[in-house]
Amino acid sequence: MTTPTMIGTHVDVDDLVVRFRRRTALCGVDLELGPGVHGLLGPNGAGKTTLMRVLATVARASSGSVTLLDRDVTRHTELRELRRRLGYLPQQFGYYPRFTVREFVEYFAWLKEMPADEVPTAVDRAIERVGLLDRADDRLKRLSGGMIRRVGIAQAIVNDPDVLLLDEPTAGLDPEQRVEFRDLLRTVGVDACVIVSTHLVEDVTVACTDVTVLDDGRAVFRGGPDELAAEAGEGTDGGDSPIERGYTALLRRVRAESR
Amino acid sequence: MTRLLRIELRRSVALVLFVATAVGGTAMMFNDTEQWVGRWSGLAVYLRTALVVLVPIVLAAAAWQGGRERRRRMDELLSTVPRPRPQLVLVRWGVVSAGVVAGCVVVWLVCAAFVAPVATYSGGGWWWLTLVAVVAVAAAAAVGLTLGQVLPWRLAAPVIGVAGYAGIGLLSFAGDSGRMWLSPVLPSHVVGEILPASASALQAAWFAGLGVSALTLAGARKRKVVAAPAAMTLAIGAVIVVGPGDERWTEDAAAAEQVCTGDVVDVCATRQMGFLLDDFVAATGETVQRLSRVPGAPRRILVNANSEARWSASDPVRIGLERYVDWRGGLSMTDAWGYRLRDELATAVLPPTQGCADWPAPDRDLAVVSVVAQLWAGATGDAAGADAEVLARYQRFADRPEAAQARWMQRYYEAARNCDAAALPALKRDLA
Repeated sequence: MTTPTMIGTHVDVDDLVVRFRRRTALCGVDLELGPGVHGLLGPNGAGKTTLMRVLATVARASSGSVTLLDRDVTRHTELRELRRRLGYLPQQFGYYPRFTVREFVEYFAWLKEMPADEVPTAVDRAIERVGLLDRADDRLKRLSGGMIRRVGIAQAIVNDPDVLLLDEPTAGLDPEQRVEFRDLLRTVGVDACVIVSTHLVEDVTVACTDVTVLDDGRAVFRGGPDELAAEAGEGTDGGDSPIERGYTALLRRVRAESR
Repeated sequence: MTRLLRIELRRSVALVLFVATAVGGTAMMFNDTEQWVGRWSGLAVYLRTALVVLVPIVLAAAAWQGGRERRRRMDELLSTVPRPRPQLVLVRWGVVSAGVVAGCVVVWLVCAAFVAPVATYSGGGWWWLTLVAVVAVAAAAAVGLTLGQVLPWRLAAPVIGVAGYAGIGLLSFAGDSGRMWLSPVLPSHVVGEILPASASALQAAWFAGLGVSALTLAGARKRKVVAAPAAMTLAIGAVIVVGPGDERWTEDAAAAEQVCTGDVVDVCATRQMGFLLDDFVAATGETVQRLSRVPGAPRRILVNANSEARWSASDPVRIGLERYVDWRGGLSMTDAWGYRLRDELATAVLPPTQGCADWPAPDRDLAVVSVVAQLWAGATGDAAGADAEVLARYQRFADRPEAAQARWMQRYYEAARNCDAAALPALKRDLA
């Protein structure tokens, strides 16, 4: 498959607000991302999944603008072309247990409108990249939770997306698999914009080029992992690693300021 | 696309539905073979009858398939893909329909193997009836798929199946009105009747409209686009409902044409039941031979599907053989309830005396005359009500020369036809 190479901004979010009835999930979020692996951190309920769903074109913005690959996600006429270049692993990844790994990934290749002659190679490549080639003909119901998660990643990358959205991708992966997964992220992130939503801070430290921290629907930090670690001052407790301490200190400071 | 269809065929309900339809449908058809063996139109009509069970199965299976996304929590992921939803819906409907239609084709082919070798009449517009059955099951697949997608209940599939069964029952068997034609089942068919192609076309349009409306609802981004096909379908439904009920059936003159064989006594069959003629002649040859020697006895016996065996002085004697068709298309000597063909024939070829005011049926002494006549016409001893003494008397009668038997029977025919009870003592005396 010839992947369109995107130069410049892949994701441009401007003053994004998302409301669900009376609750505001995202409040004035700005984000500008290019190629690379971008971490999205935040406590539960901070709005990470909502932001991922908006970027994945599942949820709609109440106000503000969201541009992916120079296309406005609110314009229906542009959605189809845009979605061909998206990859998405939702937090709750559903699957058809009777399908084999290969069948499932192939199914998504068809759903992503890949050219038929490129599908077999792309499917095998995606399965190989997540380390499941030896289980390609096993039915999904016979796989472990970690393997299922890797199948989810395979379907997300089968079309070599320009924007790859992974919501809690390392949940259920064992340490060795997480290391391999970070390598995969780095490879994909060379050309594509990869956004990884997680609350595993160490994933961000190792794999991400920059990180955005959300709290209570607002982006409260944007910078590199080192800069986040530097948020921890002398004598800060609440974490085993510098970045965890920085993350904890940041949230405490933001919450104190907002009171 | 081909590969995707193959995956869905293997992994969806299509395979299970194919097996359920093929096995269930075949079992239903072979539960009542006398209704269709040897007749193409009988096969088409009974296949439509089998839809009373098959359509609810299709509805339930398709609803299960339609709810798969939600059950497997795939809806969010699927809402992010570029492939237009109508294509996805069409693929799902296509594989479910393929499963059920393939199952119906298997049922039809198995049954056709029991029709083709013996059938003597291929008219009657049976292909129209069969085509509507195919459209109906495909529409049921669309409706089930959509309901399964729309209704967010775990038990939606079985509930939809049961509701479908009840709905078809209400439409089909709740009296003679136009709404019976909204059902895929044909409850009021009589052998020898034909449904005009226009009525089948109307039904096909109704089911196609239902299917298109359902698929539009399942696949469209905006639900209001379903308004046009739904309005058209309702209009077709209204035309059907205000139209006639049973009166849509018309006589199939070609099926009622007679083919005959015989010499003095003609044995005839309608073209539709003609496949039984040779077996009937072989089974009843002795009685027919005897009749030919008796002046005043019937000269024409008409075999048809399901008329009550009856005597007629001027018309041919009629005998309905549908109950005696065996599962291979041959003639069985007894029906499912144990009635015997030769008893029925004997009843049909003798003048009825139940209406004669003073014919002494309860008088055992004189009733022996009627019993001997029935035994002569081929009835079994049980059916004629003969005890050992009467059987012995009949045996002596049967040992007489054929001409003597024929003369006695001629006198019996005259007496019975004229309700001449006064002739009975003399007839009884001559039996001694």
